[in-house]
Amino acid sequence: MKNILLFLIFLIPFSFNSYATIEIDITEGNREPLPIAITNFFHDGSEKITNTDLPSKIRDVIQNDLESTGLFNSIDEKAFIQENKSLHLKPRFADWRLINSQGLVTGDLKIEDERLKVEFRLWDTLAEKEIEGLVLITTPDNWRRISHMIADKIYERLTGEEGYFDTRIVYVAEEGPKNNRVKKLAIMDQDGANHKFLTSGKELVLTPRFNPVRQEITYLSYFKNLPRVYLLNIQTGIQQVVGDSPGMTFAPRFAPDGNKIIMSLAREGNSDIYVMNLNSRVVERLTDSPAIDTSPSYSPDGKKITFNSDRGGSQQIYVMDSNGRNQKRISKGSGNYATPVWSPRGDLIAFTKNFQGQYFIGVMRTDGTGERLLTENWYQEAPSWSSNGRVLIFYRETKADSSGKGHSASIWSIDLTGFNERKLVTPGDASDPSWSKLIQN
Amino acid sequence: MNKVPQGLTTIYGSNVMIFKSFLRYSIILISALIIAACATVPDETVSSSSSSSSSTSSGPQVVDGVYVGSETVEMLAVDVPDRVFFAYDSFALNSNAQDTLSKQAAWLKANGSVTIAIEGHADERGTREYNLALGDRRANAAKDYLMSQGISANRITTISFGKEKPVVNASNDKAWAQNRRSVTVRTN
Amino acid sequence: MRLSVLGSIILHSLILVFTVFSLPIFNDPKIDTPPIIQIELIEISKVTNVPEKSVQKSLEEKNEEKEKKEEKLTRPISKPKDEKSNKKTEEVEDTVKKVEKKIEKKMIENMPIRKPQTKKKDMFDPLKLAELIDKQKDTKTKIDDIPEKDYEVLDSKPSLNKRLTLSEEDAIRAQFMQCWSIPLGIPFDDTMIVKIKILLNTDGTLQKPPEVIQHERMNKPSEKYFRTLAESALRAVRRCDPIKVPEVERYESWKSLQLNFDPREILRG
Repeated sequence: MKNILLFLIFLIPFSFNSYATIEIDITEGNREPLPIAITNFFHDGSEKITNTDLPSKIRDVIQNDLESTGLFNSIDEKAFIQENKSLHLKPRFADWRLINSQGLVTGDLKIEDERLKVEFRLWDTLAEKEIEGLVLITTPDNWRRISHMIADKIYERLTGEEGYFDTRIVYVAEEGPKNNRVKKLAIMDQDGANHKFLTSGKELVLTPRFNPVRQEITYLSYFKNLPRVYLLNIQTGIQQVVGDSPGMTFAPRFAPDGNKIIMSLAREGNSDIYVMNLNSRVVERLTDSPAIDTSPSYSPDGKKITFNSDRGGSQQIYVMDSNGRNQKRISKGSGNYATPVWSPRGDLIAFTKNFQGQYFIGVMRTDGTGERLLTENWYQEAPSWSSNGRVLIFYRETKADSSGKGHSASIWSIDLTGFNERKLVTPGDASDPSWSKLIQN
Repeated sequence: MNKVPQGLTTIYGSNVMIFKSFLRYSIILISALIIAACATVPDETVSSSSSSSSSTSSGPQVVDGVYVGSETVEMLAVDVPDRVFFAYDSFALNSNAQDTLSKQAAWLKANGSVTIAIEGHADERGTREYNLALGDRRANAAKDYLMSQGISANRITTISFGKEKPVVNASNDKAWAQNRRSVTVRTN
Repeated sequence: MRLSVLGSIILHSLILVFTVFSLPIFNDPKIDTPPIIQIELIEISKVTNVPEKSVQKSLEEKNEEKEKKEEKLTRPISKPKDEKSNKKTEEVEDTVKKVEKKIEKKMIENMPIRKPQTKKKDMFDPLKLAELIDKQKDTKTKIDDIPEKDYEVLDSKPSLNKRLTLSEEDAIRAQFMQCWSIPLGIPFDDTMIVKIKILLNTDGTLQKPPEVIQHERMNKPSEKYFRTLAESALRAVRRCDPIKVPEVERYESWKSLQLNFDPREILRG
């Protein structure tokens, strides 16, 4: 009994020993994009799949989406050790670790009742387990959307952010000399595929924007030499004018619920901001100043509006309530500010800034603090947010020489952190890009 | 000299170090302020020093930001120029512009059935939507002046083209000055 | 018989009292710092054993004081005991000594560890001196001249060498830095640190799967970014397995590590 007591007493001090844990702070890592291996999805040999080379195409789309973010590095197929056949049964994780891949994407393709069924799996090669999986069924020619959805899932699982790959971009395609420019509305997948022109180029068209909830675009058209805001149905191609205004309407954007359009109306030399309800056709005036008030943009909750005004003597950014009250300037720095767009996350406003002859794309908090300039150029403007508020697209022009040659326009994207600036591929010159939300249907 | 290892020093020693850094930084700060004071002047106030490589007339082409040449000017009638020019980001009519518009007014009075459209334009700098509004201002500035000269409003329509229809494709001060204009066009 | 039970109870309670009082919260964590003196960075080859002994000495002195106190207490009671209880009290004395040793060791270990980030000027710290001395150990200078008596004393007294040296910590840190692919997409957030506990075998391999200490944050839907960060840290730990570890002789000091993956400076941008 006493021995037991003694023993217990011995234990008390010894138990302190297990607290001898050293803490090590790791505040740096390698900032390389995450290496990930994307394999050609396995299939049962059905003709439809082999004839169209589907596994390879799907892989290419996923790889391209993920690499375009700057956050992932897709390992070259030639380096793969494990073959597809055995991979189909189970991944040999050591093989994938050997080529430094931290993530592994595998899948299965099947044609069932004329439909394409895709099963995909995302593996953590270090933890040696599956961390994401999805089954998607669609018509075979819709394989691109499935690829984008898979890429979105992978992106979301590995970054914590919602993906933005199953989206489209509408923009103005341009060609010809500056003094005789032909402009057409065009739409494409965010990776440049499925490109389509929406107008003929006969009328001047500008600044198209997506409806967040419907397959619809609003834009400015000079049909019959009367510049007005129009609606275009993407599926039918039918265009119709919005409202019946005595003066030029321009700079249109949809409200978050997709049922209102906010825009500028110019009357006798003065431009103010108006909102039109598409259902009731009721028009509400929001600003009433002799200054130019334009480029309005709603906050994602629809409660506030940011806009551009020169009421203070120079172009600056303002915010007001959605009923037009409490109009306040928020831009604080030197220079001119324009084209404010509210982030889908609600916390930032992106803008164009002109300072000492240079043009900047930047972001600021909704009270104007924390201004950060992301990129500088001779000329660039009009940022538009990705659906997850992570990436901005905008357009850039190059300077023409004294004979007018050398001018070009192109669309660029940049990550919110200021890195990964890339040029988007378009068939010709491009401007006024607008990014859609995730395609829901 | 004693080598002072990282993290071990006397209090006196640290004071010296602090003072030295303070001195260094204040010198840097002062020099930076001096240099900043000589900041360059922005483009907008370019005056008569713009290039005139292809001009036919002598003398400066752009004065106080407003184009004063005649290269791009067309005539509505004898001695009636069809356009007026503006300074950067402005819709003010200088004396030349007012002269021109007075001539247009006189001609319109003499030809009472003529109706016109005034097109307002901006140069390629400045954001697209703002320039649409600016073009509208410039068109209406000209219209208002004509009205003040007695021309009735229902003879005049206005349209803004923003920066969409320049007449000169180059990207320099002269080209931009030539593109900042309100043009009067016959509509019948 | 009753006397021995009484003695036993008193001693047991004394031990408990000492145990309780030696807990860190009751201890003044600061060691009395001697006045600030300038010190030269000494070349390793020039080092003698003297400094080591002097530091050990101050601790030994403390221990001796405590022991003396102990003896004073134990002596009057132990006298009238019979053999059996004498043995026991001796055992008790031994345990007291051992407890003292452990207590001292714990005191040292609970000294606030200076984080490498603070580049501020440190006050004179005997532990830093200990680290300088440890450097000497790293180069395997033999400590032959320590007389027998002192050697024994070294063994039973808490040794400052039972912690990791700065360079050993750095070596381990560097490995994880290499292995960690930081998810650059995570927005800056003050709470974005992932703490992972690992247990190592003597060859540097993981004894069991690494654990995220804040595991309650791993499955909350509102903590998606934390999960992403935590998974990247777990991958880093697995990638680095087996890690290159210091010598096996000091296994006790490095077998249990807590890794704090802290990307905040990088995410702040």
